[in-house]
Amino acid sequence: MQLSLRNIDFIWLVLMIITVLNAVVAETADGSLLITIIIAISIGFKGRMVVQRFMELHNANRFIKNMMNAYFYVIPLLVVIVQAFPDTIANLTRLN
Amino acid sequence: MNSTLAISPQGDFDQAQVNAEPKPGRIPGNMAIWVAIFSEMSEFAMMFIIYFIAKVHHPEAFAAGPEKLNTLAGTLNTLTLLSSSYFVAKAMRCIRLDRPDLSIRWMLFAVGTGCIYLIIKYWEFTWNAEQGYEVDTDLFFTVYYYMTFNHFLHVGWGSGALLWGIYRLKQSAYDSREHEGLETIASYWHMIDLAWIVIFPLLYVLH
Repeated sequence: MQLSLRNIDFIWLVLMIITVLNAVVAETADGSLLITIIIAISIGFKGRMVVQRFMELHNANRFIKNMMNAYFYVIPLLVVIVQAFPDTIANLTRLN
Repeated sequence: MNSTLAISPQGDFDQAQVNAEPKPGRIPGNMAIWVAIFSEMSEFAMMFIIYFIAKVHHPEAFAAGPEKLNTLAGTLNTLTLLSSSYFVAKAMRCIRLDRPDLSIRWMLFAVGTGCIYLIIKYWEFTWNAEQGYEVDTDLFFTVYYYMTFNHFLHVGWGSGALLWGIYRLKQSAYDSREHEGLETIASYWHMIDLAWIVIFPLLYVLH
């Protein structure tokens, strides 16, 4: 197997390992900001690997590729922001 | 060398990888499926925003919620969906190399893992009920069932689309030049996997 992030066999193996590590974190780690950042990075990495290599958007139409990639920058960023500033987000979204 | 000769019966693509690459700048599948995919991704994004807002207003419920869920079921579901997405990617590469027989095999693996996902999820819902966790237990479980049941339905009808792709492959409807229909189904299936890539850590991992 070619150990490259262009090889979908290798990517599949890496995604499996990250998922198992996520499960270990779920069972053992606390809800610290550092853990949240690590999990957010793993969401972004896994998403972009599927978008670029499984979905084969790495050389596809630029608009579609950019929009799908952007999703996996924005969502992980929101995960970190919500963990870092929960009170601010709560105040901004309070109805009264 | 003919590209089809580069594939071993086991489906090893190391040598044939370059031949299996899709055309640069293309729209995968067709434009209609991308309208659907962006709509679905927006729908899931709304669910994630609801999760974020609910979490900051009810931090205790969302800190305790993941510990009440069955992490093994969530992890197995993630592994099966990622594998299913990988099998579909393999099937696309096979059809580009004019190997519909191998493409059908990978698609069958994909449907199989899709069904395993549905079975595990059904078992997980049953397990939750036995522990006394229902939709109205607290806000965490309301959001959990809202997201996961919605995703469960997507995997259900997505599996049906994969079966349609296998049926069309068996009819020799796709080859290396014409496989728009199969690529459309593949793109939709990957979108379902992408949604779960976000759902799993939100509900099962982050405390």
